[in-house]
Amino acid sequence: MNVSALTPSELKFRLKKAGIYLQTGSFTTHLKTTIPSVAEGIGLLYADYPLVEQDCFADFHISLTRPRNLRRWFKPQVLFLFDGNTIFKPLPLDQAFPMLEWGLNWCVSTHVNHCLMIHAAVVEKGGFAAIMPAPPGSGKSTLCAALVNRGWRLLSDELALIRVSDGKLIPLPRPVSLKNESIEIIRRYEPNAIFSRKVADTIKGTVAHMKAPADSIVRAAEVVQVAWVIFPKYQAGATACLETLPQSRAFMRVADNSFNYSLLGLQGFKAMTNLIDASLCYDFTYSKLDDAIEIFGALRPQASNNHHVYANEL
Amino acid sequence: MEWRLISSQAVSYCSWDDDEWVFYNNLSGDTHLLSSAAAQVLLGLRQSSLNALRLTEALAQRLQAEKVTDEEFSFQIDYLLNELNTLGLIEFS
Repeated sequence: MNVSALTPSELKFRLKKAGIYLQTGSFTTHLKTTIPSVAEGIGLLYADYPLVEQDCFADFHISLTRPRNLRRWFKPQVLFLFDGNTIFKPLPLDQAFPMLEWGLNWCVSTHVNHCLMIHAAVVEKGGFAAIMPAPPGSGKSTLCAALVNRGWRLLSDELALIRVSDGKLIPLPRPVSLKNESIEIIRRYEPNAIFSRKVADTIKGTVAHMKAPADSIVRAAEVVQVAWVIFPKYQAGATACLETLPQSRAFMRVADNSFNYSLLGLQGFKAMTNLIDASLCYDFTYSKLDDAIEIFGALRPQASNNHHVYANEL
Repeated sequence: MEWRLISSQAVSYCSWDDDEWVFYNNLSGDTHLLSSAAAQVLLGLRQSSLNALRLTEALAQRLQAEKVTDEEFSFQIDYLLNELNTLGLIEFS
């Protein structure tokens, strides 16, 4: 059963009482909240996600609540609780849904160490994934939103999860986080895209989340081979340019964008070596989304017999 | 005075084009992007400890040292040895 099977009032009731067990990719989140804007956000952006049976195992138990103090009435706030504990400082109540999204990212990025985790958007076409690691402000999510509205499958907007055991990428398709000008750019680019309400004055500016394509959610269990590592950079007025990046340089830059490369130790080094060896690596500068779509459409994976890493131990 | 790899550490490495090498030091947990010359110094110390002169002789041909004077090449090797020592990859024996 998907979230969409519940009426808005049923969803609100469940969230308030026992909570829901929401399946996002390979993770199950037990979520409780009494906050109406969170229930509305779930109903809108998570409509196509499966609900797991009540009282089953959950990877994360979270709730969003309002503090039981004067803040209930004066400049109301929201708290994110993980296993019943406060994790972050409270935010204004208006930011409750973005806080849920940020909190879910935190849950994965701090608990999933059977994977090499990279701060990156990931999309797939033809059975091959493109990882786009980049710091905030590089246009990563904007490019990701455009690609998934033009035939690419959304694997993740924030977290590339590379399984250490076999190097396959585990999808985690969740809403795409857009901020400031990017929101209207994607609204114009794909008028049919579904967005959450804009929330202003967050730490990231004005934010809104775009619903993941239904097909990406249905295929969330299909792991993927990575074929490209592309560092995107939006630059106003720039001609789109895909420039080959030496793999050793790409290794270091992906490691810089990883949450747990150091934590994984030698396993992380080996997983990163295999990831880079399987990938063609590029720097990508762009200003127009259509140009970016065209260039991504022309990407071809390297031949499987073309991997040529020389790896050893001293 | 001879240089050697730090005995208690395990160092893994990889390279795709010989120009740059990525080294991972299991003892420190650090990852280093090294030049081909630095990588050749480390590989040269795998078998046994060597002094700077012996190392310079061993690496001169491999690193195309004929393009520079002996003094310049020796200076470069000394510099590399000190850098690798600072990174905790080699030590005096």
